[in-house]
Amino acid sequence: MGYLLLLAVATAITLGVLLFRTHRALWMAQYQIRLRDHERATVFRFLNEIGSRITRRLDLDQTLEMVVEFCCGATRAEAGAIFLRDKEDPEVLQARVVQGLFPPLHEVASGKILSKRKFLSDFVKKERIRVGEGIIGLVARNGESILIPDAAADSRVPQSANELVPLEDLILAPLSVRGKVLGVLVLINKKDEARPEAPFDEQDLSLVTALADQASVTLDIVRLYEELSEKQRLEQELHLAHEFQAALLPTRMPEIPEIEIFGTSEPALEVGGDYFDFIEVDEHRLGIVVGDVSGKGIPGALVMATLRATLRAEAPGKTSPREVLRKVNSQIVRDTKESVFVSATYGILDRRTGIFRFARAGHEPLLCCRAENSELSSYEPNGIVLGMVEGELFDLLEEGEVDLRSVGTVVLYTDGVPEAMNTAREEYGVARFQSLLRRNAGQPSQQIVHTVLDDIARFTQGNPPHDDITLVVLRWIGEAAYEAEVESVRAG
Amino acid sequence: MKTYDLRIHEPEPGNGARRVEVLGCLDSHTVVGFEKSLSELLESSQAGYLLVDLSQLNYISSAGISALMGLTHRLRKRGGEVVLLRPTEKVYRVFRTLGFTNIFTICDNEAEARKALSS
Repeated sequence: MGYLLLLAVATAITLGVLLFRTHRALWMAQYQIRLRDHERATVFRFLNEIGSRITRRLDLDQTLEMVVEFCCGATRAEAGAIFLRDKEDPEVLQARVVQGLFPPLHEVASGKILSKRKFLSDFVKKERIRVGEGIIGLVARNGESILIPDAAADSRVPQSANELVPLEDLILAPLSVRGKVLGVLVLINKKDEARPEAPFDEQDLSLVTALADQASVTLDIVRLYEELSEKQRLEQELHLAHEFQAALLPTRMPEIPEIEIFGTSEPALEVGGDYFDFIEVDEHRLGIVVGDVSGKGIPGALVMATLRATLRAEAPGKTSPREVLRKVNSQIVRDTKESVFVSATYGILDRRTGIFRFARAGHEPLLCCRAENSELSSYEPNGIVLGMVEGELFDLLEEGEVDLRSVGTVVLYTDGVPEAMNTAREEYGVARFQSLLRRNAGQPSQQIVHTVLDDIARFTQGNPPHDDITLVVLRWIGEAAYEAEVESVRAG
Repeated sequence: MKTYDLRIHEPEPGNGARRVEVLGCLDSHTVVGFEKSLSELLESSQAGYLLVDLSQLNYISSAGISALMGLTHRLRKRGGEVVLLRPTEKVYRVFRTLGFTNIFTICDNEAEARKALSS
């Protein structure tokens, strides 16, 4: 009897602990979602503000001030600064904008300057910091954000900084484009009235990194714009939009042993607006998107930035491409003018099964081709472009599914491929494109992309493209990779 | 240089529907004139029903589609409707790919179009 009672009590305690853990896990999950929502909402607000600011006037100092002000407000930082690489000597960084009481973040030889508050900002701005030197130089060299919740306990923070401005906690984030660090954003001393003692934490770091990521591409454009004369500016606006656009494209292809993935986007001189991206959904799934924004120039590029930010925020953890596109659509409908829309196909690739589930929001059909019999299938489930309608009409969006193990190769592309034009104003056409894919279905992904681009170049005979050309090719090599491995084991 | 023309016909007896024909190419350049003419027509006539004949439209860009979308919004707001008549195969394919066949009312012939307008 005593044993049974003990067992009952033990079971009750175990169940209680399990329930508590489950409840806590659920609460934590909800908390994380709320935090992610907050981060996402802040990034959108930032994009809107920076977008409307640069549409009114492209001015580097004003843009930088807006970025620092916004980031200080969003994280409750007391002060902040942006350090940029020097134009003449890119190995040197200098503070371009300083807001609030901001101390130098490297060893200062003399304490004299620091005793005068009013000169502090000028002092910080005059200092030249070499890449790799001090904590700012470290971020510029490594291109990675740093969170320091307790400055006094961190050897990387010079203690001389504390003499005038008590330095409690700080966040440093690189401003980088295409892997090149343009500068460093620094925020110091979190002062949240609701939690006065709380220092910067991982959530703040994540938010600042996301904001810095969005700010970098805009800064790159504004900086380039400032370097041009008025006449050149008019001529170069589209070129700048391309630069901006290029900065939004992935620089590396995902590396998955079972699947070969290759994508490229060739910008046109005139229209533009193509985009593709790879997003990690979870440890087994990869999100792949190919899109085309209808607007051109800087407004079009800004819509693309919104699309990229929304997708990157919505995609992680979600296994339904339709649901992700529904969320993205709501955001784009709210953020863009009536006349701008985006066509996009978003799919989720499961590397374990080779299944590619996708939804097509008014985008070109998805093509699949088998190497064995050169059979080509075109998939065009129903779906309306993003940014035009919400509710019932948009919800007509359907999902499709293909098994990469049986179809072999999947091709995503934009209309720039079939609509490429030669000097006689004839279009390259879907038929020629599909026939080329049939003949090259067994080739590696990168090879297929280059074969198509070469064929388009042959067809257009040097006629400059009037629209961007984007291609993303996925090819299942799971079995082949496995067989090669077995073969090498046998041989070795 | 791509060509463009817009022919506006007299109001039809009965429902007062207006019929317009778009010819050539509707892209970011020609769409400015198209929108201006249609805007003037809608302001002056208060027409609620519009029949847009696309049988001689060879090319439509995203700017052209946005203009048709704007027109559809505007007429639906005042309780009217736009019917797109006989788009060429190429233009229809663009509508279908972008999903606009879910939004626009598209008809193959005039009888069908008039029926759609009267319903």
